[in-house]
Amino acid sequence: MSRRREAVGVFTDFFVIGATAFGGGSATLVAIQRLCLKRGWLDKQEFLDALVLSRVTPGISILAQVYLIGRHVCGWRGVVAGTLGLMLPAGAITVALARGYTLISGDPAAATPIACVIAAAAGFAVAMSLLLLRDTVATGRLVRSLAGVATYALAYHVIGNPVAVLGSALVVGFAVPRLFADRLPPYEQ
Amino acid sequence: MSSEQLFVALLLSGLLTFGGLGSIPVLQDQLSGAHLPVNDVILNSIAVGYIAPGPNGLYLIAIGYFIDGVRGSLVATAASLVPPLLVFVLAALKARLFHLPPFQAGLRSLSLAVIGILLSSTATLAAHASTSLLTAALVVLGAIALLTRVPPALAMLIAAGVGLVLR
Repeated sequence: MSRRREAVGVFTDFFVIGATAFGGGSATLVAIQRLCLKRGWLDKQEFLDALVLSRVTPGISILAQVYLIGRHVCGWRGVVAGTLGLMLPAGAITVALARGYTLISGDPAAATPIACVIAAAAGFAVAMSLLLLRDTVATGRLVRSLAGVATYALAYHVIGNPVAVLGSALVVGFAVPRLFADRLPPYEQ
Repeated sequence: MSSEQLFVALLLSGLLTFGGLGSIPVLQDQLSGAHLPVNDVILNSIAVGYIAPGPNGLYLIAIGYFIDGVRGSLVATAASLVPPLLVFVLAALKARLFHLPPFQAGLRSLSLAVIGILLSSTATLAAHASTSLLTAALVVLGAIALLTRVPPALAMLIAAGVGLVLR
């Protein structure tokens, strides 16, 4: 199959995911995994390797994974095709929902339902933080990890500048590695 | 807030953090000088982002829309696409860097810091959203819903339904 046809296939497949993977990041991730295995683009281990690498990449990790998959299938064309395929429908639906949300929020009758939706969204954000905490603590020593999280949370509370705290965290990690390097990432074990 | 400022704020929030909602604390900080109801914008965007398909991180597109309309959403999309490109750098350096203790420790320390400030930020958002007993209860129920894998769009629909009945 020519690279151009492969890129069209990557675009189409990711377009379907971008338009239908309702249910947050985990639903999208499951759909991408199914797609990769069905098309034979990656085997299970390759998918896991890409997942681990994307998790340590800054920004939206699923996008990083789409980049890796696209490049694996048909080079830079695949990167562009996969990204456009995922982002066009998902982005358009997000904008349409935001537009609808703006229109509804102007109606006084919608004030209470919107306050309730916002409250649920805040609950989602808290839950997502707790899930991230669980996943991060699971890959290191419990007490040491919790102490690290608490220290940085306190530092953020005192300093009030997240960029300064994150920059300091990076420097401290490099400068005193024995404080943090308590377990290797999964792909090195 | 100009498009350039919005782009830089969103780019920085992506470059310094990991995962979908990891960017919240840096965003709160970056948008705080823009005379915006920052917590409201972020919470509305998270709500939209969870209803829409695709990664959770696309809530950034909704933030862009709420701040500057369709142009803002395009700026947000562009800013969201850049940080994950670093995956190619990491893939190239993986064999050389990932086994080095200082690199692992730096990454580990950064992950712990992201979680620490994210917990603090989301607690602030939860307090901000808890304007009554009802909304405070919905914050807790929303968290439980996500932790027990209730589809987010369904949970949002139920929350809106509760609001409609009790308004």
